[in-house]
Amino acid sequence: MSVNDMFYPKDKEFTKAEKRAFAREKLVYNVTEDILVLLEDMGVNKKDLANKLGKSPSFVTQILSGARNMTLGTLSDVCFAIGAKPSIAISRESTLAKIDAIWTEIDDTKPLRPKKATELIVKSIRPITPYKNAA
Amino acid sequence: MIKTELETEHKGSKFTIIHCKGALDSFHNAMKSVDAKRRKSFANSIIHQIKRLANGERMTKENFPQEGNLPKRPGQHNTKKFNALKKIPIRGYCWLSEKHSNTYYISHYVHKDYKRLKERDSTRVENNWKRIEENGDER
Repeated sequence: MSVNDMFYPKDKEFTKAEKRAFAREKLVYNVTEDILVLLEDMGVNKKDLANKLGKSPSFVTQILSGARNMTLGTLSDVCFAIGAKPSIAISRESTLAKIDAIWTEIDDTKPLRPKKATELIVKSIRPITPYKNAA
Repeated sequence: MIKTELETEHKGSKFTIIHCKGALDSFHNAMKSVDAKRRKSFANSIIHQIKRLANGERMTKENFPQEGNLPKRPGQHNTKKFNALKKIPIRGYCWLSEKHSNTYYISHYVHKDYKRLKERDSTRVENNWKRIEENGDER
């Protein structure tokens, strides 16, 4: 049973674009939530982080809410600023055959049945130094 | 979306998340106030939050804040709180059950375009809590 079944009928067919958007939102939510958890643990607010990054508080709010795209460079800067080390793993979730099947589906206009896709996983963001010692 | 085909329960690796009776209907009502183009994105956000909660991963105070008090049991001194799955402006009010181990119940959803928690929302959580935790309704 999937959480999706709470909000979408089981026989709902997702288009490739919908699946791509879902995977993107999942990654953005989990990465930003991991960063926010760390900030809360360290007692660092968004204003402090903005100062460390030399950016405006609204910029930090936007990237941590997912309203604004965070580049890998910004992710690295955020982690550096709070003395954290991002751990990123990119793995194949399913068999090569299934992956090949995904890549052969090139028609975005046709709905596809749900399939597992290659997924980018940000495993964890852990502090490597206390905040006060961070750059 | 055909509501009758929807599941009300999700079992993660640590917690089971259950929508109370009428909770999914309240979600669809709350979504009526959201820009139609963004509804899918909002639904997906709540899905990701429920998945994370069910898997026992840590949630932030920012996106999973404590929003109000649960009723006290006889002899209970400390006040327990209920939380909200938060994706502005949507809130899904929920509590960790004491009657059913490792189970969160989602009472209902609201489109919260106001600051302070409304009494009607506290009352609705309270009624669902009493129904499930005290009267043994649902499960």
